[in-house]
Amino acid sequence: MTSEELWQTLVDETGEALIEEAAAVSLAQAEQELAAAGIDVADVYGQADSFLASLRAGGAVVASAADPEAPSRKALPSRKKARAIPVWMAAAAATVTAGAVAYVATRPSEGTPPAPTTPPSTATPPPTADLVAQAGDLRRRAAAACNLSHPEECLALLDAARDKDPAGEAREDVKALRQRAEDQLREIEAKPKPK
Amino acid sequence: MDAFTSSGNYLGTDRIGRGLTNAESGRLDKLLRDHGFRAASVHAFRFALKLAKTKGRAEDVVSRANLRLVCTGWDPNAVSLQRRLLRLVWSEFTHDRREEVLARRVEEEFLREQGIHGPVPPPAAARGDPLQPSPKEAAASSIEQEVITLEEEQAELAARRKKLDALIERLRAGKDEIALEYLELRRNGIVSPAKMVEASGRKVDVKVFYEAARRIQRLVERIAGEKPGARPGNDENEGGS
Repeated sequence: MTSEELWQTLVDETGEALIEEAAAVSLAQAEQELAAAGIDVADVYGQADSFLASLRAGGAVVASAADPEAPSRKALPSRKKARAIPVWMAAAAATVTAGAVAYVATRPSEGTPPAPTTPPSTATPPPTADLVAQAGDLRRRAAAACNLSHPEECLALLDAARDKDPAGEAREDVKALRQRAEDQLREIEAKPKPK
Repeated sequence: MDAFTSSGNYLGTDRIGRGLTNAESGRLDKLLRDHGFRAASVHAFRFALKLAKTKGRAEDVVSRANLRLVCTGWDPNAVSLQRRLLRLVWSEFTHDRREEVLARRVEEEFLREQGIHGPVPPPAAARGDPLQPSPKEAAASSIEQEVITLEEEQAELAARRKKLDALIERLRAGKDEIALEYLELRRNGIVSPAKMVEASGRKVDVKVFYEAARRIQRLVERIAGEKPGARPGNDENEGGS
């Protein structure tokens, strides 16, 4: 057995043992342990929700012609424009989050009308207190992402929050946060790309 | 190619070579929810935190694991969502990319069967976007791409050698002779600790080798998560005999 094979065998065996151990833990116990480690379990659930939301949001843009219910490509943001954003460079650096995927996938290019999948806010029923709380949590995380100069993630989180609580989008602090993230994104776009 | 098979297996965007349609995204969302994605995420986060130690790194590992779930797929008939996520967390933590390589090989095989020759370049999704792979990806790679792939593979092998060297170095530093012998015997194809006792000629109980295996696993867990070139952390004394 070569050194490379031996190392990989050891990694596989270690992984199997650890996965077995982790899978044997009950949900209540896992939540308890996270809480004991100072982790907000609601935040972990929020991240899972955010991922699912980003999945749905991202999927809307990549609909194929085979799907008759999907919005027309002509009405969708330019893929070329979206690809021009160096978000995937960040992804390659393994810092991208699921939220970033959704944002870049759904981000409308300048002058492009928004995708017709978003229902007008007037037609949306008022959000429940729970949804408003979840949106608040997403916006707090968006602010944190913006502070860390992760504008794509920030915007994705803001979009997810808007889905839950459209009225909150009109707040001045939320508008300012979105503006800040968009400015950051423009700065990243303006930087020369490494060859 | 559909993103889902008739048995409900989600193939992943790498395999189908395109993004998901609205209907497929909705179906994946429902599939994940039906199989307890939220609860599985708690388990995945707990596992990631155990491995990565810090909240920030754990979040990063889980985010990447989620992305790879979309890229590489999941067969709910074969493995639970919780275990699938745990495996992806481990593989992200150890920077393991074999699954992507495997997916690429499957794709190459498919194209060969279709009469299209030449290796396939890395799918767009592997470069970061699981939902928007390029629809105009070339069917055959250029010489440059082949060189890059070869270089990547060689770098991966070199990284593994370095990690094994780091493991041996730490065992030597801890004067863990039994663990070092365990490694040598594994290299020679001996897996059973009982046979290791025989082969070593030592008059020791078999549990001595089992314990050595556990010490090695603890070190492997630590070293596997280190980025190449990282300085070793402050190890606890792993010394054996």
